[in-house]
Amino acid sequence: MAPTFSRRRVLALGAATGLAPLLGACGDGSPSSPNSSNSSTGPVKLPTYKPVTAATPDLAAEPAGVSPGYFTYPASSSAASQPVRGEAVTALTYTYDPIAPALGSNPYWQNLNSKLGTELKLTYVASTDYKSKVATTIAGGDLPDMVAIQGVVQQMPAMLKAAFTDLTEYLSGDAVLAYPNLAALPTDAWRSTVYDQRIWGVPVPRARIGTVLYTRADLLDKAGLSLQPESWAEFKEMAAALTDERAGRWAFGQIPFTTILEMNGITGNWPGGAGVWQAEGGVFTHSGTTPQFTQALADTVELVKSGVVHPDHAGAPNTKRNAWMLAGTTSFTIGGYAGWGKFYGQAKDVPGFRLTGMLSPTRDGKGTRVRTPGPTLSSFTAVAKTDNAERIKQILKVLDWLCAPFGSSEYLALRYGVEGQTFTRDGSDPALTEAGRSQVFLPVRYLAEASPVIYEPGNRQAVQDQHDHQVAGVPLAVADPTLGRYSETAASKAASEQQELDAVLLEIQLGNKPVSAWQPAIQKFMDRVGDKIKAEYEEQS
Amino acid sequence: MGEPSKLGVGARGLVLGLGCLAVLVPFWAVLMTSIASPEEINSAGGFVLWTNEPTLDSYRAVLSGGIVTRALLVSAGITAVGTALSLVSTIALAYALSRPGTLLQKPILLMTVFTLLFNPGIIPMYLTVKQLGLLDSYLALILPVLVNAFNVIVMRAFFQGIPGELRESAYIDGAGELRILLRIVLPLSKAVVAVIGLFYAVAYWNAFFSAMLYLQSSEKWPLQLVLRTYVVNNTPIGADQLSSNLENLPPQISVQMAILVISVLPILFIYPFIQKHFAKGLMVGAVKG
Repeated sequence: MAPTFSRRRVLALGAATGLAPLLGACGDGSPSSPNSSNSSTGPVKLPTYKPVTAATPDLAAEPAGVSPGYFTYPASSSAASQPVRGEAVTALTYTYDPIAPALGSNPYWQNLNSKLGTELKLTYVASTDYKSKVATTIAGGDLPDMVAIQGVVQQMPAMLKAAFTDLTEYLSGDAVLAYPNLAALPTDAWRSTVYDQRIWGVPVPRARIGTVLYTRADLLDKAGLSLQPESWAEFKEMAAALTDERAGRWAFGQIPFTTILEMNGITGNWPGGAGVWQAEGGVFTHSGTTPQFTQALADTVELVKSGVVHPDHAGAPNTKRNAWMLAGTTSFTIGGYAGWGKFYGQAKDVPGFRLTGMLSPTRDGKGTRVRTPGPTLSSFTAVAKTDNAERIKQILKVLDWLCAPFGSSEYLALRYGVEGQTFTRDGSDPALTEAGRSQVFLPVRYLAEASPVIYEPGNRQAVQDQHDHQVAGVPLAVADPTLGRYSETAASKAASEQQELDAVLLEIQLGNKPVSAWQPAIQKFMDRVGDKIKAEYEEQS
Repeated sequence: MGEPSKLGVGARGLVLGLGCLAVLVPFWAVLMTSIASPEEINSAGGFVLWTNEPTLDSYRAVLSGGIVTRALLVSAGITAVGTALSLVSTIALAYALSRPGTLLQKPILLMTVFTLLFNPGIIPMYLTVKQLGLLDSYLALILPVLVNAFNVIVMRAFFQGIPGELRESAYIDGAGELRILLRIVLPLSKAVVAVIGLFYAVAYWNAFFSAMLYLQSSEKWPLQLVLRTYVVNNTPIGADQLSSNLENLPPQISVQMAILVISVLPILFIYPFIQKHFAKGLMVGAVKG
């Protein structure tokens, strides 16, 4: 099966990348120039931000960008908003969950439809297959009403223009206030839905905090270590103290490269190179070209050589790393913030398990710390091309309904379903029943959802730890200057060059190549695509 | 050759035994991990070789809701119907191409070989399926892959290996082409039919990509596509995405191993029944091209 799979993947990629120019061609005939910032409309006015809360949080959403925390589920739910009414709405989206039972045997879905007042018809595939599914569906020209758009593909502005509805007049500025839950979505998330100065969809927002250096606080406590080292030297000492090769214990499950980058004052996610651009006064710089990056590489090599990283780290899947972490084989693992709650679910049997997030100290222990923020959204949901204003409003109302805030009765219906049938109450906390668990896999949350909140039923400490980490970490986040800008070169040509760069990076980290191999590699990247990307970003300043 | 020495027999036994172990141990680990308790998996940090508290929680998690059971039936149906249709078409085409004197034999053969070299690609295929009105229909999983050119060529080569005299004598006795095919050629070709049948069956059983593209309603999904959502998707604790609903599921690795067992079992059961043909069929074309 493996060879077939890889061939298909290649085909799929070919299809996904080959599709966009085709669409551009069958659009309105005018060659769209995605990089033109001299759009006649000028910069688009992003939707006005106006938070909604259905219940007062136990831990406030402050400073800006921090998610509110709740220790228990609010007992009283706010009144339901008006149901949407109208004919059925179809949608295409992706999922990270197993498949849900079909409508006929899914009371959760049936309840959702009746609360919503209209039928929601969902087609979805596994996230890994989503790109091919979208590419073929768009090529087939038979789009459902709503399509989740994930990632940036080449000729993105032309594709959106050809197949989807420009939502600017419905959402820009105060217009969004007609949809109160949409107005509560964070501004940064909206920024990523803008192409050619038009708003193309409703974002599925993500927590600002981003990637976390997950720390087994209980193991560090036991070893008498501080949960927050203050310098590179202290960080190394801590790693050494947590490593005991004979006992089969190491500090890290993977190379903490982002952490070391942050220690050296720069941000970015590697491999992949997301968020590596820095901007000052309209001038963009690829962080890989800075001396700090080379310093970070040298530091990484030193750390890896000292043997504090699990010897099987290269190529280990996340599941494996998480298992090491749960077994105490390693004390750290790096992962997305969204996984925090899941660790607790899986660590029920690990005595004393406590998870915290560690911030990256500065190298010398002085100056300001920095942090790489997370992606502002998971995807955005675009509306298939239509001129029917009433229909567009109906679809936006459905999306608004799906974004109902934590604590509202809609939220309860969206996350837990029907009381007594798909969930029961444990105190005020809802708990899914055996049947409910698989029914709520229906991926409505990947069409639209409210900004994330911190809520771990029955685990006060976990809520507090997450909130503490956000309060400490979010203000350090360095905003990604490329947000809301589009580079055709980055979308269409950079992928293979980036892979080459990632390969060199890994070889250096593993000690197979000297640190000096980095300069020629990054220079090549800049010559081939980097300088062009830089120019395209700067043009939009 | 004399009697092999005891040492020789012992050494051979040891090598064979080790070989068998190398195949069986991973299977064993998969099976054990799928029924191990969460504590055991956590303390082992991955695969488990022995469990003291076997639990079927992972199987329960996967099989609850009836989705997997339904998908199993769908897959079995597609495999059975698809394999039968594919065999009929392949045999008919291969036979026509193998006997001398078929009308337009050369162009048809060339067209068949052409599909071997040039794949239409995903989007043209999708458009074709769509325009035939096959979207969201099980036929979309069968018709586009009904005839595999490689299988046709293998079968044609086998048919050509059957002596022409047999055909001629049947012809003289008054048999028509259909009778010759059914009474003379096919009985002589059981091995190749079994092997090609197995190729088709395994391909239908494993196909998930076409189902992903062509089937809109998830209740029609075949087993592999359903299982894929368990294996591929719930991997990343800590990816940017969250599948929070899995909190109460058994450990991921255990669920994945249960899925492996479920998807491998049917093929494991079929294999012994056609194995005798398989060994013979593999030699097809080894001597005669």
